[in-house]
Amino acid sequence: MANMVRACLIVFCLCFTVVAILGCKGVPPKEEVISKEIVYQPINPALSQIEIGKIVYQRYGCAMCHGPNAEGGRKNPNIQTGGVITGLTKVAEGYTKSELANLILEGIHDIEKEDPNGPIPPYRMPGWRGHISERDLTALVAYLFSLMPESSTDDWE
Amino acid sequence: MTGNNKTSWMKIVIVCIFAGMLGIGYKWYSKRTMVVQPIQFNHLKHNKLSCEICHPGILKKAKAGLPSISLCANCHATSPDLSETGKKWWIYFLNKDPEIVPWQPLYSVPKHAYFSHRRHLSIASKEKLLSCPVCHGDIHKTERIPQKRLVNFSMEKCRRCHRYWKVSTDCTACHR
Repeated sequence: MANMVRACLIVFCLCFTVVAILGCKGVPPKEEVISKEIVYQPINPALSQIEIGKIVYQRYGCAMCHGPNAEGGRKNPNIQTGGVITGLTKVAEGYTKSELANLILEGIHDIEKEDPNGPIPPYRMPGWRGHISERDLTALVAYLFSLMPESSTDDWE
Repeated sequence: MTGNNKTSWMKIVIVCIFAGMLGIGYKWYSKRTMVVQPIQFNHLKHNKLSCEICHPGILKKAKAGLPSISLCANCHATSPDLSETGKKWWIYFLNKDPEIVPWQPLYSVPKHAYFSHRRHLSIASKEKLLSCPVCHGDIHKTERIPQKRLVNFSMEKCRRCHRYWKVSTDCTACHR
């Protein structure tokens, strides 16, 4: 009887010891799976202005609203442009380079509503003044201007 | 059981119970140290943006920096969190001080250690040696800000990396 009590006590104490060790070290960690993908890398200055502009277009989140190829189409309910964000492939038609640069810097804070009584469109054009460098801005404008389809200029003749 | 044996067993039992309580207490404490944010943020939806848009110090300063709500409001005309609580906190922070959100840092180094994001991102990343997930885990794939670090880092981890890439492991390089 005494031996059985002693045996139970030993088991009980061993259990507590195990809990103590696990508690101090924590559950043995799983092997940390750390992504090797390069999330951020400085832009290679040797690239052409348009290539840099394409990277800037992605990095500043333009693609999130205007599409990966500037085709537009992201939903922005009740925005005046038919409820979708416009594409940018023909900005060269409507803007000079300095006008476009200014628009990128200032953004559009108040978006026009399609239905004045409807909800505020959830997304606005951000102003990048203070965030974007001169080099990145120039490259971005050059890239957007390069998207103009060549055939479009023939329509004017 | 003789008196001496009884005493010895009692001591062992007391030590084991005490050790068990320490372990349980540690588990409870670690749960309490989980980090809770004032606003939830979905990194996965925003990971097309460069990290430096919201963390502007990563290339220029020691600290990476955390975004103000005025930066969020640059793109979001309305509360991005559609829950009632989220909308309430959005208006509260915009009105209180759009430059400050009381973010709770998930990653930080002790005060006696010096870590420069500028050095590590600007310099090391040129050689493709280092990128954000190495120290911060796949946070860019999370839909909610984690309450605990995704990657446990320690001085030994830093030293391993420094030794591997033959960078200084001198104490004064990192400690004030």
